[in-house]
Amino acid sequence: MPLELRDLPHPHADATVTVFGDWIAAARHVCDHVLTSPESEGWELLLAPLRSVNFQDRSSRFKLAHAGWRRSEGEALQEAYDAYAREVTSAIGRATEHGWYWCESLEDREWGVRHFFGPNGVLVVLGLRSVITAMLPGMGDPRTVHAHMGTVDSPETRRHNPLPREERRAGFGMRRAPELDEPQLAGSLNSWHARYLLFRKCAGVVREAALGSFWSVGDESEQRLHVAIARYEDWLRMQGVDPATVER
Amino acid sequence: MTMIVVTSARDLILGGVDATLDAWRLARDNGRGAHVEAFDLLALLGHLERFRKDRDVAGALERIRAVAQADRDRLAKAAFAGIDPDGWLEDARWLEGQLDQEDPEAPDRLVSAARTLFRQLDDAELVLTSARALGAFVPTGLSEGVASCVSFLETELELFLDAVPVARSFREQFVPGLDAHDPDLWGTTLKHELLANLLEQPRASVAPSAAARPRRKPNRLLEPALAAAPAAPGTGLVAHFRWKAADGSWRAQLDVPRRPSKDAAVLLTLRFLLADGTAASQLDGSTVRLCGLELDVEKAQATVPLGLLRPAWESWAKDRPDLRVRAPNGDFVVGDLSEPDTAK
Repeated sequence: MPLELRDLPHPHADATVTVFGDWIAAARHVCDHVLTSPESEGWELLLAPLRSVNFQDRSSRFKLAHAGWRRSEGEALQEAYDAYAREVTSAIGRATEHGWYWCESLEDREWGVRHFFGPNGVLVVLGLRSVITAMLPGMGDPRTVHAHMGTVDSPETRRHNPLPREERRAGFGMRRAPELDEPQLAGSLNSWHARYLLFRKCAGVVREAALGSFWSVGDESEQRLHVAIARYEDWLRMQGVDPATVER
Repeated sequence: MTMIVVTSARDLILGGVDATLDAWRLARDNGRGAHVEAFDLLALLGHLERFRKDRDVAGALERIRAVAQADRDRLAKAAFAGIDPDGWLEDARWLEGQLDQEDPEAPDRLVSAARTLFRQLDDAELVLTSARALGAFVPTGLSEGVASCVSFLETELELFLDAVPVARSFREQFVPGLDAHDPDLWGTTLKHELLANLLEQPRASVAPSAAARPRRKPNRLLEPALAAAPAAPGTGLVAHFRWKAADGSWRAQLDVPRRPSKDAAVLLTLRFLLADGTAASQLDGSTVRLCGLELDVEKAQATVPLGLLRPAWESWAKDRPDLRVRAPNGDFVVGDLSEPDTAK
């Protein structure tokens, strides 16, 4: 049975959109973001536990990705995809509620493309018909993403190499090497603390990008971006959690 | 909750203060390595020390200083672990390789990479400056590593052309007279001055001439301050400038390769097109004004020698050239800038 795509209501249009346009796009994003290290460490915080994969085991991630491309149009990825889709849906909903969304460029505005940043740290790019991409910004290596662009990327190539962005180093520039030495986030901290640190890291990247967009496009684009960051206790409340109930 | 409109370096820095303090406390109290939070906190301290002190900045500075003083040694140790000069240099050389390609993939990502590298280097310098100011020990090897990254930036400045708006936005916040009362901190502002001066005439600023800082080799871009050159194969990324008539009836485009050239006689061509991409010949015989230079349109084109445009653009002191077209009443009217000034 092929991968079953999930729907969500478009926050600004009377329409339903799918979480990615087809099974191939969905499988690519599950593989490139959820299952590829080091971004997978962040997704583990949000999605674990899953029956189909042990995030900390590279071979487990690889096996699931491989199965996703080998068997019946992504069927093996259904559990990971569903969990991913839930976080994407949550990010869009909360971002809409808090006003954490924007158009990155004039072209985006023309095409109805919006960026949503959720308190879970997930950045979603949403088109009029489907989710275009969803990621934990700043968790991957820009060089790897860049190297991957423009290359042939088909189900056939994925059957041979299901995680083409794996085996690269984490981070970029001045702040990359220590990331590799960082203890696994999930194992070292209270999960709310760890999730907040993940959120703050992603928010930092998003805020820089939003400002960069403003600098590039300027006032002409009406891009006065409201990109927020929240203090820990405010962030907990945004998650529906009473700070008094969380261990310090 | 901090809800802030991010349109300047000040917004970016001030908006992140409380979240960074919270993140550091959580990481510190849980015994995690916390290098990301420590790095950000010391960098924030440096940014705020460098900014003009209005009430918001002074308040944020007070909160950060209190934590930084109390946690000095743990902060410094963790923050230093987050600095990787070799990684920065490797990625800066990667950026150089990408920009040297005639048709690089995804130039928007290269814009982001240039800005990220500039910001990271600035933050790393500020981490070291803040640590020294707090009285923490800074390993010589680390200082030298960061200094070598600064030297790279100064000698390969054109790689960071896309970070000019970043440099300018931060420079606008710098406290005047920094060189007199905090030379170490002032030293971190020189790269902003160098970059900001790339596309504008030198002006009085908080930092004296950037030439005061010794460089390993002469900067290639400071001679032709405008990073403009004739279109020639292999000269690197091209900056596309686009304008659109207010009524949408035509658009104009000017392509400017970013690699410098000393050949001032080369002609740049401003092309006028209709929406379907055909020549906008109805503009033939019109006069347009590009950065104040009056040009005649013939065959839906206007040409301008690089040697004329460069000084005109510099005196315009903007990072985008200005294009106006003479209206029937004789006034020059500005078109709508329809696209960002980055290559697509």
